[in-house]
Amino acid sequence: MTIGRTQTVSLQGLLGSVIDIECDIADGIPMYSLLGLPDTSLQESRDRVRAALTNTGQRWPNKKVTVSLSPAWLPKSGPGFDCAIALALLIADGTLPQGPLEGFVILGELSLDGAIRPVRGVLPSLIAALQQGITRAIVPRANAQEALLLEQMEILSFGHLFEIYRWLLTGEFPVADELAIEVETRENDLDFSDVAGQVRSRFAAEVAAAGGHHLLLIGPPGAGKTMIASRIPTILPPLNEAQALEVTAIHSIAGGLNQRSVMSRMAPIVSPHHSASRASIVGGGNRSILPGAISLAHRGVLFIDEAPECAMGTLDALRQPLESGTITISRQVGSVTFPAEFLLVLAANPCPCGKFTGKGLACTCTSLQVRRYLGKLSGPLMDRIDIRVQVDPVGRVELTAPDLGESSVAIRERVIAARTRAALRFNNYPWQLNSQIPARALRGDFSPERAGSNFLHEELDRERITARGLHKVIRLSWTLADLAEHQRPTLADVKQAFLLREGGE
Amino acid sequence: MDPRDARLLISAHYEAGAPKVAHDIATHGLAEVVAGIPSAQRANLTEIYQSMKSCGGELLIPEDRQWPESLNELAVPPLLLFVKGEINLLSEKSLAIVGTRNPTPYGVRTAQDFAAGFVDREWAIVSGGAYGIDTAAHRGALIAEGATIAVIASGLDSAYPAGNQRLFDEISESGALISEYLPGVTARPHRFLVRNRLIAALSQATLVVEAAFRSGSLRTARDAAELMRPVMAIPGPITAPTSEGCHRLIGERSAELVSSVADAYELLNTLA
Repeated sequence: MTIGRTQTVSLQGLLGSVIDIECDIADGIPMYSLLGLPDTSLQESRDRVRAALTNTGQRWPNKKVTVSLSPAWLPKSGPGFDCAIALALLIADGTLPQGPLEGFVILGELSLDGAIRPVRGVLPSLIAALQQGITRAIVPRANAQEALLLEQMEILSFGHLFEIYRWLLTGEFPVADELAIEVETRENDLDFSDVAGQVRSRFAAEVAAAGGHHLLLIGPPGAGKTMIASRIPTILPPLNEAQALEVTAIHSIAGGLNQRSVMSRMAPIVSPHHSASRASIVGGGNRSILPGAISLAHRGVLFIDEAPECAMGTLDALRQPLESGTITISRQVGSVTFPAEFLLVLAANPCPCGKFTGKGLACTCTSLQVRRYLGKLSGPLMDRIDIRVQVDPVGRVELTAPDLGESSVAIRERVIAARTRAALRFNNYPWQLNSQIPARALRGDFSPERAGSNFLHEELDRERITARGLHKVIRLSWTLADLAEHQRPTLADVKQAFLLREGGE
Repeated sequence: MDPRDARLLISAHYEAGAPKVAHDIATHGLAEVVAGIPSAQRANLTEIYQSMKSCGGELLIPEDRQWPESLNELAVPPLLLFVKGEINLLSEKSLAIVGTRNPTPYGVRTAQDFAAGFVDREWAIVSGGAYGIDTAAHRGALIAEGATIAVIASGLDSAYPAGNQRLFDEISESGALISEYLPGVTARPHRFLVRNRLIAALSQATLVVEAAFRSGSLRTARDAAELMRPVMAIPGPITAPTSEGCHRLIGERSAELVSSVADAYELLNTLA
């Protein structure tokens, strides 16, 4: 008997390692041993593989079966190895030839009847395989669309073990049907023209998108905070190919591709509920470390509604990723780094009961309650929020006016133009967005026009802003200048930025 | 009996702002009222003087030359005042600035600007030392290097809110921190309302910057109106609940609408 060899990929976060699977069938007491630090879900593959093989007409070798996964030191997890193990076993058994499977990585979970079920993380697995010089892959049919994003690879997709047998034995390839069905997503339905009125919040959203400035929306329930936030991805520039792959890869690991089309170039939006745990926001997990909301929102928008209701510490966990754009999660199985560059959008009611609006007669909150409520947001997190905008309830006329507001397409054009101007300016610098200009540069090359600087220094003298606030105003004024096509922020840009920052007017 | 001792004993026994005590003093005199306190319940004067000294306050009574006359117009004038800081400041021209503890940036800016503007015109500022508009008013005055008076609703040793302790320290250095409560008395909700009458009486005029529908600062405005002192209010957007109290005062003709420091200054000059 020969040794059956196949290859698959094991993921740690976004990074993958190619795993060599060897299967040996030897005389001895019938048994099955799986070597190479498998976890429980991988141990269970024995029963799935056995059932799948017998149910597809193969004979289970009543001998001593040894399956080795190498490198052996790497802890491995998940059901994605099933298909590769089954094929290695059949090669060792002599049922299938080894030759045609050389140079393939094989991904797929088996169902008991031999159908090949989709797995998480196909895209990052294939990227890892490609980086290690493997150019051919067998993937579950349901993951085919995702896998085909990697045009440099030859992708074969199968829905059932039978199809693989037939292909290996006769060379006949199954006709891939229903492959090109684009997943319907709601992202196409949203448009800024749905938002009635709200001139100020719309503008704030546009500025946030253009400069990458984090945003806080404060307003009573029903004023349209969620509506505005959920439309911000529609005015962000579309992702380029590399970014789209990156985003799809993260969503693939988290198993979230049924909500997001794999081909989507739209910036993602993730809105965790305010009861979300810290691990679900930043990422975590025991055996396999999964990305959290902040990584799913990578290159897109993280929207937290009712932010003051979040548990203590949840929001503060955002501070470090906001600063570094990545999150490193360390667990017993190892430590994993996910990217997390997102635009943070927080929404809050004006007070715990939410009725402190208009004449404020219905509000039952005490002064202390109100202060504590919004106080939960204060401190270091608020230091990273550049724009704070009051969302007032929509007026009667605005609500019934027949003409729609400006559409996302028009706003997005301006955002793209502004980002292009910024990108040209930052050609020789390591940052891309106005919100990322370091304080040092704001005092040097990136100071506003003289009159604007003077205005800010006056405000500083009168203690109306802090030094940190001053920097935020300047960054914001650069975005306003980009939107208005000014070479350098003018006094008017600076004043407008000042108002946007503090939410006044 | 020394009027200082008498007033301290009465203050220690009765809650400040009680109309009956004020009435009794006015009709029967201090000695009579002191005699009405059972000797077993009389406070230890040495202790009071001691605690006053340790918190750095001075005692000011109506019999003193420096007593601000304007307080005597009150129906229930204070029995005494503890002052930490510049005593002579109390008799100077001053503007009270009051408002909500949860202001918007607009309110904070306006309060600071008006405080600074009046300080530039040689007025002192009077406010209550609370968070929000009070703090903004004191800050504005301090930034403009002017004098500001904080009238607090607890003993000078435990000025409330504790989070403003640094502000209180600054105020007592260049302005005055005053209270009609003995050291050791803590802040209680009703004491804020009683205290508000002092803010209204001590100043020549009152400015309400931002006040919600239910707000203690409206009480200050009414106290000022009862004393026939001018009351002014800053308008806000009609959609802003934080300006609703101001709009009500303006709507009821209890307050004059002012929209700039110059406006307010001119208004006060024509009335004076």
